[in-house]
Amino acid sequence: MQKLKYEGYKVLIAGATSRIGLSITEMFIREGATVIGLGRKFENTTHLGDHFIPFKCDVTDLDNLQLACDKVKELFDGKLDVLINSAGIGIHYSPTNIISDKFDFAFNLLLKSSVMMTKYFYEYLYNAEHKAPVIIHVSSIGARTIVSNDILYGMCKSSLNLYSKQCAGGLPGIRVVSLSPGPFITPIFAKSRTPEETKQVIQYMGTLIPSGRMAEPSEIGDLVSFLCSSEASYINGCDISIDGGMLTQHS
Amino acid sequence: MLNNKIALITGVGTGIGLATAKRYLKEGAKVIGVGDYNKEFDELGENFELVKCDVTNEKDIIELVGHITKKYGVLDILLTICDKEYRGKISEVSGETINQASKHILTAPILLTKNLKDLLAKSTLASVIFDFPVSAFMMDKNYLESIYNMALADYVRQATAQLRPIRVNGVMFGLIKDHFLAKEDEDRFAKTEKKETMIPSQRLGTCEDVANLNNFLADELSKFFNSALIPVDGGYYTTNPKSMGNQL
Repeated sequence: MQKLKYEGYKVLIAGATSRIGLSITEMFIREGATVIGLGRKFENTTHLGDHFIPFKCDVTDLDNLQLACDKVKELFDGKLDVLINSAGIGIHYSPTNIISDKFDFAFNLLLKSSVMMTKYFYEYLYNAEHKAPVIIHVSSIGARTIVSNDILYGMCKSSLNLYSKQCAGGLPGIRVVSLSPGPFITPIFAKSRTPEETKQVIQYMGTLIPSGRMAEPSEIGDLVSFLCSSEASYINGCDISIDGGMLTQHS
Repeated sequence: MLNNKIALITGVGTGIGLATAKRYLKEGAKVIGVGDYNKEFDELGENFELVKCDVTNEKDIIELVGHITKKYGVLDILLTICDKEYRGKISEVSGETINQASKHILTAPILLTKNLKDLLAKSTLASVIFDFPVSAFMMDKNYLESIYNMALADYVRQATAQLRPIRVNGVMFGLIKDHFLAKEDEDRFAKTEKKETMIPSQRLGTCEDVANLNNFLADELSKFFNSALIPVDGGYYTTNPKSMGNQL
């Protein structure tokens, strides 16, 4: 039997339980890796099998992160090939209705979690068995555009892109890349809509994008599969946008 | 896999062009190459053909389009790589050099895209890829090619918006060993090698590194990529504080 692409790889994914994080997790499991998935609820991951190890963890809590660190040490022998942070939710505030607490919450979840995870896990990445460790920060096309009624998300994600480059320069031997997805199909579109309405909304969104459609979450998984492989071993310190060309459109 | 896809590669005689042609062929594509002859072409087999065409001359391009139409009826992949370099100081430039640089770096991709878009539209998933140096974003001695390459980066976005659903992406390569095969002088190579320690990935790039990305962008796996500018530079320009590449 042919060896799977990521057989024997040790992968840690934060935000592994939904949307993009889940599609990345599914890809790694399919390709033979063992994944420790950090998240809060695991009802969406029961199909992943024995190579998926759920670990309940709030990535904004340093004590929680320390426990995750101990877990990686115990289960992965202190070795990690891939670290991915995909934890996040939409946090919508404008310049006029912004609340101090939400500012802290957004920066803790969308930025500080990546900064602290890197600090907690980088030594494990230097121990990587496959000798080609990768950190991927899941950012957003929101980092490259200006949405005035959604200030926190864009601020955090553009800072994350910068941080990703700082890491690439500061952690020689570890590749650090951020990726910026545009709109992709999630269950959120079906929320409080009939199937027919959902279809219409998804179709309409497609017309706003040069590629003519939104992305499937699995396409982000395909991108990560490429980025973590030796095929991409010279791609480092950059942000990769996958948005179907959306930002080229007239407003 | 690129089974039976038809690919046109300009600058196929450069290191990156040749490495990409080899890769596309390995993935099952048929490759039409335009560029300086290289004796390695003889080993590429029957799915490779070298076509003579001055890609800065629209008449020549129209003939090339006629040839592709007749022989294949479709084009799936257009990949352009400039096979000339333009170096020198601002005080030394001549009108002739400006015209040449503009023609090779900018006119060629723009005219090829214009004349090939109908053949590309016949493909189920057409991919246009422009390869150019990410040094365009850096203050550098080769300022002349930089300004035209910057314009090409913008053309990626303009073309994406107008050519939908044909996808258009840019590959921005860093310090690549053996790209300008015979043209590489030893002094310059030694100087470039010294930069190795300054690159986050701690090595110079290879033509295969760039070919890998050219392959990914031609493949179905990247079908949602459009208007992306992707650096493959080991982090040298993308993390350099003096480079506008740090915006990539």
